[in-house]
Amino acid sequence: MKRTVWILFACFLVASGVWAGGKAEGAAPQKSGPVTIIYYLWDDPSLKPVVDAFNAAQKDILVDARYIPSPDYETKITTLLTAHAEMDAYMQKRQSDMFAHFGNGFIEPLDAYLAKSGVNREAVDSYKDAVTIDGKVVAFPWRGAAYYTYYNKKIFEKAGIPTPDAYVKEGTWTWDKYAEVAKKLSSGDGATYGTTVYFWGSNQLFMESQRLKPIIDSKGKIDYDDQIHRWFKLRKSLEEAKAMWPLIDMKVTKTHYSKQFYDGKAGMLLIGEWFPGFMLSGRDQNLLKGFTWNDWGVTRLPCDSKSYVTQGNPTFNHVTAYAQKKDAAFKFIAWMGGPEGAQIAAKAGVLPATITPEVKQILSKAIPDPQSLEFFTEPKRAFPMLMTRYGSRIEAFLNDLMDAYLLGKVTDGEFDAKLRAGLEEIVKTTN
Amino acid sequence: MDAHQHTSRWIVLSFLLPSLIGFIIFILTPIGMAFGISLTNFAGGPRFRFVGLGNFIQAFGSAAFRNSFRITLVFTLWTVLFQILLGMVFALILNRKVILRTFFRGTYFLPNVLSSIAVGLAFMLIFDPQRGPLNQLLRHWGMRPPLWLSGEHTALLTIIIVTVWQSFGYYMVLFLGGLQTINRSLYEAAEIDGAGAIRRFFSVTLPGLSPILFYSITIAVIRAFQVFDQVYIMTGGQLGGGPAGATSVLVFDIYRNGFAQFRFGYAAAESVVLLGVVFIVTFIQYRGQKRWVTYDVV
Repeated sequence: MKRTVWILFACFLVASGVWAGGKAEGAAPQKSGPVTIIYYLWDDPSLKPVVDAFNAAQKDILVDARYIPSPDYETKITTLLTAHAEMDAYMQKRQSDMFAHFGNGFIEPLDAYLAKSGVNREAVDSYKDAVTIDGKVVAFPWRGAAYYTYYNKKIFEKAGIPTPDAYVKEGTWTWDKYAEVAKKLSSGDGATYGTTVYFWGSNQLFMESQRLKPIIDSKGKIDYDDQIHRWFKLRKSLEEAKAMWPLIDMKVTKTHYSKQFYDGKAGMLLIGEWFPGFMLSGRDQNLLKGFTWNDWGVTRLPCDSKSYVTQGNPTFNHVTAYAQKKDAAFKFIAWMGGPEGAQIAAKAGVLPATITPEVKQILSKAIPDPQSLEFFTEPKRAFPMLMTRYGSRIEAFLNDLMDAYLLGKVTDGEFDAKLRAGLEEIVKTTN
Repeated sequence: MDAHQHTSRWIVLSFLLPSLIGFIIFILTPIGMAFGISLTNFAGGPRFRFVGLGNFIQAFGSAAFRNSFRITLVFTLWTVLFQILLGMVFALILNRKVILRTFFRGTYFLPNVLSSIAVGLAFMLIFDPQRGPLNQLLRHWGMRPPLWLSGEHTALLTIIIVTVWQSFGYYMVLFLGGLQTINRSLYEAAEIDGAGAIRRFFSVTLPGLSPILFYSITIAVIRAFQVFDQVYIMTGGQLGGGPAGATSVLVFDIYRNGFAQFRFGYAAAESVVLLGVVFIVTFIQYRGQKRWVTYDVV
């Protein structure tokens, strides 16, 4: 009896070991029908129509889109790539992560695919600096790059001051004017803030970007000037005057910038080219409070120099280096970055990587007035933010430094030393 | 050893084997890999190299690491103290014949079985400095409400409060079990000898509970060093860590370095240091138990 039990148990162990081994890696044999590619992206409402439109437009490739919640996207995509999860293409959310992903061998260079396919490569050429590493094209842009000032006309009406586009036309829309306007718009008690700037580290670099300063360049040279300190001081003074939504509150309460704007509590919002898509969603879901679709507008960022520069990184897609279906994945991301994808992007209310007259016509439905549309689509220089292999760490460091500065743990006298020491450590300890 | 004993031993080993395999695969192997990775500059891909103790030297030289370590120690001290204290107080109260004793025992234990994520999200809303019901109530009473998670000096306190709230019920149940095992005759003897309630507590209850107390403190310390969920959920996710890193505990720093900044080698080194610290603290407690833990109370 005991021997029988022992033998049965040994058989169970062997069977469970074999069963627990799982199936072998590698794609299942492709049956007839469209080639299915697995594509990872985050849960931005403007993205699903693009995937659906591609699937509807042709029958050779079926995109199986896998959505990851936006707040955790960067971490989860890194984990999936490290684990070599089945993935043919993915969209990059924190653009500077592409350096680490490429360095780890996760991203397929696209030069050969671009050469042999003959696809429209206007998007790649327009944003070449942002999508090239060591001379190799590693990404195909889908969305363009620019930050703007979005404003609530009702709040400006109530305060009795001109909207920012008036100052832009006068040539007086500077950072000092921005601060002045923000203070005039705010109620002073936190009910209405004059302006909102989100807590991302890259959103603390407007002034540096307009001075074409990369903070740390691709060779590891630290390059910034006093404008970064000026922004920190400006932010602190506006928060103390209750003219700007507190950064720490936004982080801790996870309040999204769109909510503040939807609720009619922010007179201005400095954010990127995807925001009209959020406004379309806000309108369609009846989230706009105290103002209607025609009561908001878009204009340039404040800028102290005569020659206008904004900041921004294009949103782009990669083909995974270990993908099984690279050709199909490339066809999809090239379509997204081409004229057809641009039209879908425009319908979703985001600035595409390529602007054509048809795209502009479609965008006019996502932008409330012609003047705003002109500002949104005008040719402009968009300085890439933190687009080096140090970028991700600089982003986190600036975040921490801003917290410490706002809380008074770093004084104005200590600011430059702390900033430089932090940047030097990043250069020294980044692989 | 005869054949019968020999066979029995093999059968016993066979039954232990699944757990042992699981332990080796899911516990021992990752620990070994963490040691190995901590000696490299592994960034998630196939290209990495051996850097020796470089990551450890960098960690001890890093202000962020030292800050995280200090915050973790503070967190551990206060959470362990209050978890054990509250657990014992409520165990003593609910060990008596009080009305609805069984109901309260279940109620106080209930938070322990809830998901940490759900608890964190709920308390995030409660502690919202502007819209949270707690601050609205404090304002209604004419008090100046604290900033809770938004305040540099209150963020860690808030995490401690939530952690203690969620966990003290577990220790209460352990102490309740321990209290049941104390021989009643010892209390009677102490009463006859003229011992008051406080003297009986220190001379009978505490020694009787000492084995459970030792276990509870050990577990509480280990769990406190491992805190992550509440910090991640309640202070802003991967960009969290509280205002100016006020709640950036060691595990959160490890997570951020590894998964947000691709410094897996450095993060592994931090985790090895954490393992070492927890091991040393547990070892000290284990050796110290000889002085105050009583196993032979009748």
